Amino acid sequence: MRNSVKAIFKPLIPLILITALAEWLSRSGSIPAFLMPAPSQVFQSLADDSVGFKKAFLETALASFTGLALSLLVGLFFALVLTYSRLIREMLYPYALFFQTVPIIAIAPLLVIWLGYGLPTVIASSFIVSVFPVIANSVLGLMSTDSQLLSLFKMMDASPLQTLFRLRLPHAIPQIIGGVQIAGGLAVIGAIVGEFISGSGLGGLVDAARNQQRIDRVFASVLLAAMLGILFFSFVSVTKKILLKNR
Amino acid sequence: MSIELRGLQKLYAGSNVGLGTTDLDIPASQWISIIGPSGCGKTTLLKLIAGLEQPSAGAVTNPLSRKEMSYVFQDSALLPWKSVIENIILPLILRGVSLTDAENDAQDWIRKLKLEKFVNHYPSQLSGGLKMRVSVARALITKPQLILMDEPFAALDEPIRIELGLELRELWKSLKPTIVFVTHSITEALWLSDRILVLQGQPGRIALDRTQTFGDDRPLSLRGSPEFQKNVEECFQLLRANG
Repeated sequence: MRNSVKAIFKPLIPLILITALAEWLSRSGSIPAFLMPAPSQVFQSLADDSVGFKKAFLETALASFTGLALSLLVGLFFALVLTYSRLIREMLYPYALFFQTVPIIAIAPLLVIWLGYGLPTVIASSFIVSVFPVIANSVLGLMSTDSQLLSLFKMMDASPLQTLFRLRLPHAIPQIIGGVQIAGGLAVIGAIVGEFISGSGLGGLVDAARNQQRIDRVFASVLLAAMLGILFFSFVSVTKKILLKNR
Repeated sequence: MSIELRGLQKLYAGSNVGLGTTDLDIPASQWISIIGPSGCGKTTLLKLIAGLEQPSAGAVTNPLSRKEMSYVFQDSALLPWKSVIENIILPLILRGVSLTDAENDAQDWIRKLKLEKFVNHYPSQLSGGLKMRVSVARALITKPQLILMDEPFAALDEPIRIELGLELRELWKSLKPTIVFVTHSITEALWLSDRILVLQGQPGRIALDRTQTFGDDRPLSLRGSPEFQKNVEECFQLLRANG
């Protein structure tokens, strides 16, 4: 228990120090307010429009979560196909890699054209950015099953489905969760980028605040987006701990 | 029903290790031990009998199906996400036996292999000796007619090796499966088995094939007898001469 408290408390120290420094720099006039607002000003703007920020936060959270869930489902399915079919792997994996290198900011306007303004575009953006780590890590996990355990299953006359569900998938869980952990942060980034274009959620707030030169609101939105990313990461970390507690 | 190996050979491209041309008959209920230096093809021979590898030449005539065989791996090969009991009953579950029936079947083996206190433990919580007991229990729960064991005691301390050897010998006496047992230990091979094969060279060939005359009861004291020591010396000299 004491260790858990320490683990939470230690990262808070630099955060508190940096916040205090930023507050001092801003109040002393060392950094102009139009470049960086005082943290107290950011919190004030969060309090002033708590309803608007809450709505935007929930919209981004819903889009990112849906994008991440889709990434998990589609990514896992795709990884299974790539694992079991060498032909398909050799045919499609280079495109999966290519897909990963295309910047989402370049695709986002296309998504608006295809899917219109609103949630579908944001979810699609979140999905596109976050699916690759799930595929890559899942393929790695599924293909690195201990050869001795595979032989054991062969000796036990296990069917391909039994080998998949009772050996390959459970064996790959650490790698799959590792992929989801990376994808969690990316899903939020993808959603924010989608919202920049389609104009909703925290991304929409950032864009609007930028146009109004309300840098305090930009910082407040960024803070909430970061919190959302941390929330996803923590959720996946706890799930990982539960699933792997006996290994 | 015996297992027959005729002109069996397994060679790996770009390597000397593997199994040279081998002819062998393994009668039912015999405990046969295979000893020899690393790379002489002991594990390859085991995998060929199991059908886990395909021979480069020759054939294995094994009348048994996979369901009638078990394989015990060197490092126990337990599923780390399953408890002791779940690991033991795995072969039965894969055969469609209900969980209740499988757990009932497992109780006998848990008792015989002294695992009562550890049924709900996970492999990460077990010592090497306990893991191997679980592995042996899993191999025996299906009552196989053939058990292939690949250096099962290699990672264990001598007292645990002896204890497990005694337990395994007792189990063999009551069930009489055919056992093909790969080991690096001459003493272990002579003490536990009915027949010794010494493999030599790369690729490996049978340099010695001897049926033991010690009888079914193998107390620990047998290892100190002059005849036993003479056999140890002979195998040792053979391995040293060809090593």
